Amino acid sequence: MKELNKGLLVAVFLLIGSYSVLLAQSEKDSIYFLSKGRLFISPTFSVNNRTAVNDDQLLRFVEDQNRLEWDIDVNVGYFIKDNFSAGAQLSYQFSKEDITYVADSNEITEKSNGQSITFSPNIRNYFGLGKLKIFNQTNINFSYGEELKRVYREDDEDKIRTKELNFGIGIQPGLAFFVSDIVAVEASLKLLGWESSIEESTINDNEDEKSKITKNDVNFSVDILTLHIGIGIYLDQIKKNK
Amino acid sequence: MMKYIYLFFVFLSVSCIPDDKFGLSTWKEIKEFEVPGQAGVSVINKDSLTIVIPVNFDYDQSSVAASKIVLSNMASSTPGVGESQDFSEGAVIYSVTAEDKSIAEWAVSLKIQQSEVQLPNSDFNLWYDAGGYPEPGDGITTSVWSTANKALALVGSFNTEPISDGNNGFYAKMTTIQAPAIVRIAAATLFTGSFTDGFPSIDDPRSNIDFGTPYTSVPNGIKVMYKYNPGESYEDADGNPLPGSDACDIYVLLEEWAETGSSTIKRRVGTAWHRSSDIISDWTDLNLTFTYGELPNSDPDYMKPADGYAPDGSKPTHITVVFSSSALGDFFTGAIGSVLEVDDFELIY
Repeated sequence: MKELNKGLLVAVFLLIGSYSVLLAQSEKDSIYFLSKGRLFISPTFSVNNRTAVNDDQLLRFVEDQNRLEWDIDVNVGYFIKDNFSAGAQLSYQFSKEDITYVADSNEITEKSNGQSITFSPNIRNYFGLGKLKIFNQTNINFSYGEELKRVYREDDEDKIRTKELNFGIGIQPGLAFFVSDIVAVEASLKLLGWESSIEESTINDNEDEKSKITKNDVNFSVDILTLHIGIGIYLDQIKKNK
Repeated sequence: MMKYIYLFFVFLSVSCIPDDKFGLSTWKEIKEFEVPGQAGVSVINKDSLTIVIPVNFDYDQSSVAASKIVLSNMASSTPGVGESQDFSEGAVIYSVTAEDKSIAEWAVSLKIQQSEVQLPNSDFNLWYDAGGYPEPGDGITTSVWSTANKALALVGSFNTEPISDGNNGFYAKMTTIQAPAIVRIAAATLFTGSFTDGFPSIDDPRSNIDFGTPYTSVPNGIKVMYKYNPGESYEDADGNPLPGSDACDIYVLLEEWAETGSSTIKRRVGTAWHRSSDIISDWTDLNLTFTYGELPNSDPDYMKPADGYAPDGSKPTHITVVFSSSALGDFFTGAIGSVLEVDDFELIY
């Protein structure tokens, strides 16, 4: 089913792209034309919360759990020529969890707090006429994240501090549907190109036994689980506004 | 663009989640404390904040440096490992500072003990719940005895257990059982030492155990009450039938330990070993005499030490006592259902 969905989405992108190229002649007259000098801003926000009480899991019995995750992204771009923008996306992710569980007859409480920030310079190519446009965004990602976790056991306590640095280049095709001349609903898929990360983890301030994991990942598969939906606001030409 | 990059790196430098986000640790316990050449196990009392270390009558107490101190996580102690102290005038105070900077003062003293020392809980009357499975002693940090139950507990099972002796006490019963996965059998064992932390190795069970506990006396032999009944089908690791029958293992090694970097050299001082397939249905006293120094060539290879022998006249620093329901259980060879029961282990002087 997942493979079918992937194929369907790619087919939709290709069809709309072909259709748009064929009808590109009189585009400049359209109020939806993305001319040089326009600006766009696309903010997105998501929140995820999980609470559980007396949840019997495979290797532990969760007595109480409260997890909150949210992230906010702002993507800003400037059209340096018709249908071509350059900009940057800034994202901030936050997570917090408080969980008490029983494993091997021992009651353990964990508290954690994490945050990360991502900075992604990007360029976008737009194709299409009228309200519906297809775009392809190419990103360079810099990301830094950290987490502090405390594990409370009956006879001691652990402190686990994790830091992660990411660098990647990705391609993100998407659709923009204009509901007015300046507001569009955008959906995009993450096509991961290359990602490199370094994760360091220190337990109880023991620098001698710090773990370090380096990962390099090259992947061009479509991941429909990373479908991003947001609102894009396309401001008119700056010169015209003046 | 440069402004964004600048802001990104400013975030990296100032955004660190503070250590005290959830409060700092207040733990300041001493979990283990050892000095070189101590004669027995350190007795740690967490309520009175005292530690008593048994030493022999000829032990030089004027300059003693701790060889091992295990503290609560993120705590520190003053003095620390390797710092000599004078114990001849009485207890020495070790100040342990928790992560939150609160301090506990532990009184550490040396106690001259009788030369004919017995191992604690060698009658196997004390057992504690280690988290769904039994372990001999009164707690993981104070007991000199351990079992391999921790590995089987991962699948909700154990094969070494206390059985009431009908006289307000217990004896230890070890049963070789069918392994829950991957390997054929799980032999039961009871030993001096500890089961290692972390996920146990399945294909190398001996690597999960740190054998031995501090001991400096010079006994003539050992005595233990035991019963043994080997299981019906004696098979190798692949389940192929073998001639003969399963055997129990009861052995005691006196060793001189020496730290060499990250490893420990264990030179043999004395050996007492009993491996037998005999059915012993009633409680029987097993008496073994130590062979000090090099074993005769006629003794089987499994008795010989991996790290060689200590020089003649050496005194032990540690003792390893092992009971196993299947002598070749390390190699998954044995009979399911073999039962070894032991009680009242005693060192004979």
